[in-house]
Amino acid sequence: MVIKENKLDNLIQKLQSTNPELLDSELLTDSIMLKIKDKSKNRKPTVLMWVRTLSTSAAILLVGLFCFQQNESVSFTSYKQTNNFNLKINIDSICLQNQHTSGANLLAIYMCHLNQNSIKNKIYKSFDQQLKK
Amino acid sequence: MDKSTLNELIASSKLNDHKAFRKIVECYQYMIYSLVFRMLCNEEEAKDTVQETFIKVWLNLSAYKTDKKFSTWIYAIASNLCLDKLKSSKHRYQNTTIDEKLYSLISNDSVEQTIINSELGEIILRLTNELTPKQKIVFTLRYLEEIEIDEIIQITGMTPAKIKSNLYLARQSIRRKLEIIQNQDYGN
Repeated sequence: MVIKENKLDNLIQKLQSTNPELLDSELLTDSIMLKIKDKSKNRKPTVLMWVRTLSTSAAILLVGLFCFQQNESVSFTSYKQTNNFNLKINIDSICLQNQHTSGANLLAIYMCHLNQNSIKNKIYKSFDQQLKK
Repeated sequence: MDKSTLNELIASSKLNDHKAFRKIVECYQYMIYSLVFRMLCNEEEAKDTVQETFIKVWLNLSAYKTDKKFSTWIYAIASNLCLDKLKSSKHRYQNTTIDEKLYSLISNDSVEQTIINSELGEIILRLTNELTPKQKIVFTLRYLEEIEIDEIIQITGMTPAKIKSNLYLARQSIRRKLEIIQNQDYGN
């Protein structure tokens, strides 16, 4: 047997008009408020949450700034150390020039110095050989 | 409750005013109970869900923007909770036992209303127990709570086409159910 649309609509209308009644509404309100009070006690104040967020981000920023500054001071110190090193091992003016123009690091300067030395050695050797002859 | 009073109560509640929030609860709990009861078809479970809804409302009140309708916002919270309950494996459509019904009759003063609630729950459950949770929420909101499609879109977040197809499928399913019941009666 087929149910007609109007019969279905009738049934829906009847269900619509029959509302479920909340019998002990006062009791339900009280229990809701009681639970909310408990939650409120556990909930941290909004101001505290803001302070926490701000202090966390400030701390991260400070750590970042510190790291950045450390890098800066390292490059500055290495420059200074290079100067001292230059004086001690008496690096050629070419190496010093290279350092100032291209900003080469300590290792590069030292390699340049070794290279220059080897060139010098070769020149001395050839000069010595020529003298012996 | 007019809009300005409601906005004042919401503003006070945001500042931790429990009395103001109590007034909101008193005003909206019937509306939420009606939807939740029709969705879950169980008095006790419906009351628990109403509680959960208002706790969520309280905790998320700062996120509520007054340009939206407050009832729509609460409906959305309640319907999401109902959907979660219907989807969860723990939820079973259980018919209340005679003992439970008797206990309910003894503990409530209004015997008539208890019977009406119980029977209404059983009828809705019998008709809609084969619907998917989404079909059930759309059917309940549109046909039983008489909410406009535009508002259902805001509550459920579904597209109009999806809502219409869910409504169509829900009606088809209920009609089939009625036909089976009628055929059984004629068969007997």
